[in-house]
Amino acid sequence: MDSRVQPNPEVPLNKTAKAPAVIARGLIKRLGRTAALRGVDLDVVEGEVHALAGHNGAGKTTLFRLILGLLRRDGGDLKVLGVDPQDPTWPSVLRYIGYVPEDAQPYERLTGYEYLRFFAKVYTSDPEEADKMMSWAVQIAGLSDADLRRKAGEYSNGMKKRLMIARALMHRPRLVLLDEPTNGLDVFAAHEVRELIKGLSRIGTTFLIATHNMAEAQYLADRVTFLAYGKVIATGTVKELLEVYGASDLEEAFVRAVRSSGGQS
Amino acid sequence: MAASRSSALRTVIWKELIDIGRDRRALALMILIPLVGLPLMAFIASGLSSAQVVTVYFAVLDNKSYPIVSWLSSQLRQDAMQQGLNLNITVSSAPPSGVYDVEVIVPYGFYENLSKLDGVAVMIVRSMVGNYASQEVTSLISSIVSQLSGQIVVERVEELARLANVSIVPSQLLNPIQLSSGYYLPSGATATQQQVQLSFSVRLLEFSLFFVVNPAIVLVTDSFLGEKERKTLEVLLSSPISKDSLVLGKLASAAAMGFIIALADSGGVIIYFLMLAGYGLKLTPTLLMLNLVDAAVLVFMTSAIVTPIILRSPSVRAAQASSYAVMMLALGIYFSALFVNVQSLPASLKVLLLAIPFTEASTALTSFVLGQATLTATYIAIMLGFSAVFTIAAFKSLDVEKLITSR
Repeated sequence: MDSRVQPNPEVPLNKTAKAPAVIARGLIKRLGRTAALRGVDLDVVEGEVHALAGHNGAGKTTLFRLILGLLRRDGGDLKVLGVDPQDPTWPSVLRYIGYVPEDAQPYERLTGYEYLRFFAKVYTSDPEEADKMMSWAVQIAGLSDADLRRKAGEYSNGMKKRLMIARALMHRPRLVLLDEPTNGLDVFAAHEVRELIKGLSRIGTTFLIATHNMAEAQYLADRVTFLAYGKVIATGTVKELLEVYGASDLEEAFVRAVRSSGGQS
Repeated sequence: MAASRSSALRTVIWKELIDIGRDRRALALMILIPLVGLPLMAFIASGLSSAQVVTVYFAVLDNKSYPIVSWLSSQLRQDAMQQGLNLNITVSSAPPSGVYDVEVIVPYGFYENLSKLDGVAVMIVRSMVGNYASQEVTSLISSIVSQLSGQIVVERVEELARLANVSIVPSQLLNPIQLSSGYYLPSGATATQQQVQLSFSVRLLEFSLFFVVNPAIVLVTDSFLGEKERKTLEVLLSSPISKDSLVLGKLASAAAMGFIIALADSGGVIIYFLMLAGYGLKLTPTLLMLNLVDAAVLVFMTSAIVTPIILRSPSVRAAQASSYAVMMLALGIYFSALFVNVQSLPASLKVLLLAIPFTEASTALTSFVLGQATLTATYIAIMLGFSAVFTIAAFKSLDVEKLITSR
């Protein structure tokens, strides 16, 4: 197996050309009696699209919630944009992060404009800055003026997802976390969302995307981390992973990686 | 420029008010319940009571007693009408053969016994068991017979005085002790008629407070758990809004909506008092204003009490069950206000009751009509104190991990 695709804590991330957005070492998290994360290492560098690929229940959402400071870790070290999410100063760092949870919904009784306005006001008390955020969000969402005047509860799943991605990006965050961004969307809406991510990644936004859809990871990501049963089993570029596991696509590479790692053990 | 804490707080309140305000059906119900709750009870109490027909059967087995029974039945019909009771009276010389709510049997020899100077005339009254209206009618009959009896006693005493050739005033002979009763205030001053009426009316105002507690609990429970159920919570918690701003914003908006509900409650109280205007109930503008202030503080206090309970609950179901328990506690307090005077309870019980925050909302109103304005202000201040304590408890109870992982 190629050592390039293995998580290696001994190689400090700051030796790479770009700054680290997320550095995780030996992360452990238990949810009740279940070990959700069992010593996870992860490096996400600024400017990349990094896919966290794994099966359902692999620990992707738990890892996201640790990165956002929504859960407290039981072990290991974590730095996000240089700050530990358990540090008292953490809430100020959330200003630089955008997040769309897997099954999140917008406020159904708020119009698209009101939803975006609410979050613009959360991020800034400067009306001009809020207006700029709104314009940017409207541009990202790609929804018509008439649609944005309607209540979000009347939107299709694809429109809701676009609105929430726009909300997550409106304050020009340094790091964007998307949990299963195309889950539950029809083929057209999923395609739109992927193109949106692809477009935004070209202007330097850092994405960490959790997905169980290997084709999506292959299409979007600069680098991919395979997560299975709470452990990282491989990390590398798509090309590296395909080479190492002798696979024709990422799905095959993932299955082989899980088998060679011993599965759930 | 990052949003300041006050700006974030205003933003949360703005969002919450839009969100609640557009939930038209829930809002309409929340306003409608206090507005129609009390009047509906008045309608049920007086309307249904007057709609029922109470059957009364007079079996006059003594022919000579017909004039007395005729007077008795007409008096009974008159008194019953004043009480809102609808009677169907049958007078017959035959013994009762069917089923009646009240049976009055005037046996043979009734008139003769009544006519004797020392005769005892027996009248048999039987009422249907478990029938509240028939008991009321029996009570009216008893009162009319007592009047008649008193009148006959006066006639007998006059006859005795005539026979003994003495000059007396029969009413003075029969009532050597006269009772002069009145009401006074805790300050010792004599209570005015208005104060007496208000002291009875205030119990209904205290009971009406329950109608604002319920929507307050529903609003604040939905404010936190609704975010989780509608899958909007995680985004909110991962935004830079401080936990304090979030909790306070939700509490403040629940209280603002609660104030509208308190207004509806006051509207309901006015309608209720108008509906029962003939029953000696009294309401003054000052008391109504105080009721509104009391209800508004109560709404905020209830929201503050429920918040830490919800936030500490391990599951949505547990949170709803806890909210229900708080509601039942409040109902118990306000229902007991109809019958119990907190001030006259033993000290140990009084302290125990006053430790339950809802009691102050009730005693604040009672104190006011008893002329104890300082005590009223103290009770409202205690309620505000409870609100502050529970708000701080709510700040400390917001455990993001627990909220995210609870089911």
